[in-house]
Amino acid sequence: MAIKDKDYESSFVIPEPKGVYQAQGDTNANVSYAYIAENIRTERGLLATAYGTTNKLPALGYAVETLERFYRRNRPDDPEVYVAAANGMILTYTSGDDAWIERRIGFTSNRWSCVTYEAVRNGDTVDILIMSNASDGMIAVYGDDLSVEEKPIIVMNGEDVTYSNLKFAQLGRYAERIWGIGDSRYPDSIFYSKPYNPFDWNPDTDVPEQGGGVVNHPTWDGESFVAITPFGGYLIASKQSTLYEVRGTDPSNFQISAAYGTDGPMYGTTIGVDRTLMLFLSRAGIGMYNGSTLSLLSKNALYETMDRRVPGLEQLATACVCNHVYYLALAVQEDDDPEVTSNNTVIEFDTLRSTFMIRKGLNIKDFFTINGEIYCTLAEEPYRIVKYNDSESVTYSGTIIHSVWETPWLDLGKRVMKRDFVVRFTAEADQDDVPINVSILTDTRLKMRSVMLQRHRKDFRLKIQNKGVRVKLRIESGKRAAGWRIFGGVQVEYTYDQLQR
Amino acid sequence: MTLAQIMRLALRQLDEDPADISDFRDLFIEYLNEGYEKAVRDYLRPRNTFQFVTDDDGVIDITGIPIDSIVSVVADDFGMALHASMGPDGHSIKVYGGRNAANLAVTVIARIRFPRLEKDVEEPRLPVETHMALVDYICYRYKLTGNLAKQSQAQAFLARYQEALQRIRYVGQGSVVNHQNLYSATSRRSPW
Repeated sequence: MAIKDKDYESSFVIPEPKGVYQAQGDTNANVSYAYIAENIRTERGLLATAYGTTNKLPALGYAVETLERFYRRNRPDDPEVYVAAANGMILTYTSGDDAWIERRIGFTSNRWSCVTYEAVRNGDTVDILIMSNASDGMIAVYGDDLSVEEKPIIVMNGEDVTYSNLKFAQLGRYAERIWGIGDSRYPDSIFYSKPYNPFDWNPDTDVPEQGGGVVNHPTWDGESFVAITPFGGYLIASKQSTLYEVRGTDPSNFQISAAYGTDGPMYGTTIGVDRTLMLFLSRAGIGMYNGSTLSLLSKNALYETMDRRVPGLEQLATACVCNHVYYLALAVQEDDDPEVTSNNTVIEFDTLRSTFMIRKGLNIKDFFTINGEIYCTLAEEPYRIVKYNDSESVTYSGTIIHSVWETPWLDLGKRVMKRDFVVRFTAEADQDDVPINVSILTDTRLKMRSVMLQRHRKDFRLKIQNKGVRVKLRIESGKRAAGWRIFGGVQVEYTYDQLQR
Repeated sequence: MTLAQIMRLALRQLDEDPADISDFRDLFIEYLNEGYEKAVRDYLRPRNTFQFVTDDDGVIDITGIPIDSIVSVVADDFGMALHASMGPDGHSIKVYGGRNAANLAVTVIARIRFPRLEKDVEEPRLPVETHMALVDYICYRYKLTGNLAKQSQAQAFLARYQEALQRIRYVGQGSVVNHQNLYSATSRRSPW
């Protein structure tokens, strides 16, 4: 029988890098998915460095805990205003200004929940940003002059005060009303305002459909409403382990019903909504509500990350949704940093592609989604607002991004010795001479090859002589602050020591 | 070519990355010296002349002297060829002749070995045109330890090695003859 080279040769291909997937364990999983990957972009078939961060807005002197875009339809000359809360102050910033302007001081909490609405002032319609927290109650920023007014909420029933000075931790907007939850005195209550009047929460005895009111849903289990989120055609009110749908158009037909399933407790600051999905962090993993059922999102897909969450720091977790990607920052134990105290890991879940990616190298304090862009504050510099995922940046505010993509262990269907690895790919970089490291790991050793990428797209062929029964491919960035991109996947060829038929 | 150049060329022929030289160095030096020793012993066959005096038993101690085999032993005083053989350990020559062979000054013509190549700057003592054969020999030996397909490829390298070294065989050795005068080869008094 003739001896043919091809009888002893084979290859595997990463046709389209997708993301991290750990649910199948670390061996023989689909090679389109990395077992370990950090700071990588995979959209449009790329395997590329993630975008960095830049300082976009002027720094404040104090830790920013709330940042909101306030669009003023009635001020077309200057529509974009940013509103922030820091050090007991409400501040505003208008594009082009040099600094933030204090609008009101003396608040006890800086973590506000916000909704935009409009109101009539001096006969004119003005845009307003309604803000509330459980310590200070409700305030409103008026769009005409950016003044801040306190809006105490008292619910009267005729001459009687039913609820006095309500202070909502969370606000939502639904059915032309403002909804509030989280007053510590009423943990099981969901309040709503009159339609088109966010500052009047009184019931209307003559026309109940036009009045404000409250929906009570006690569960007698110590849980309280922690978040309220518009979701499609209804409102989702969340307790720690259960979601409730609030449906209807007015008080005569408002209904509250529990969603099926539970995977609590959920962390209210991590709720994000994208199209038909509501995502949140729960103790068991990332939870998902699709409008009918509450379940876990791809259990164990991020096993290594979820398994190493720092106990007690889940309350710091924060999240946002932007351009169909759910960004969840949380604290994860690191081998080289036993004293983790902040959200050192960001999980990015692309809801359209159903892919996960991990970001490392940033300590996120808070996320803010503004106008299709993501801003964040960092734990070490909470007074600075940085733009996250800025396509013009290749560093994390000056720090080189370490990007890595590592496949699972692969025996490639044959538990025999493999060697003579040849890695082929096509790549380019932002600058000339940008190093990346390509490694073949086997059960016996790691063999790394550094190559210099150039500004023009170039084909690479790397012979990496290593041998082993199990194999991993790892691609990681070198020590240079420059982005790089690999197009069309990666191919790895190898030979066997024994005839395979 | 130096040792380093030969190994670098071998890496290129084997499609290995020159940056991996440290992985291959020890192995390649062994392979190269095997091919070198084979080329010297079987093809080049260099000879040298040595002057010795036998001991009381007619034995010559050649420890440390790179003698591969004896061509002839001649007594200096009376110019007579003597029977002699190398000891089983390769470190001595026994001259036969009983008491006549004791304390006898002799001239030994012997095939010699060349020392191993160990340093990067050392060059094999072979004609330059055959240095490439050592590259081929390294490739041959490396491929020989692989799978059947590689062993098949190894034969091509071995053939190139043998073909290159065939050129340094002198006339009359083995199948090498002088076709102009066949008898000049066959009538030569040759110890081979």
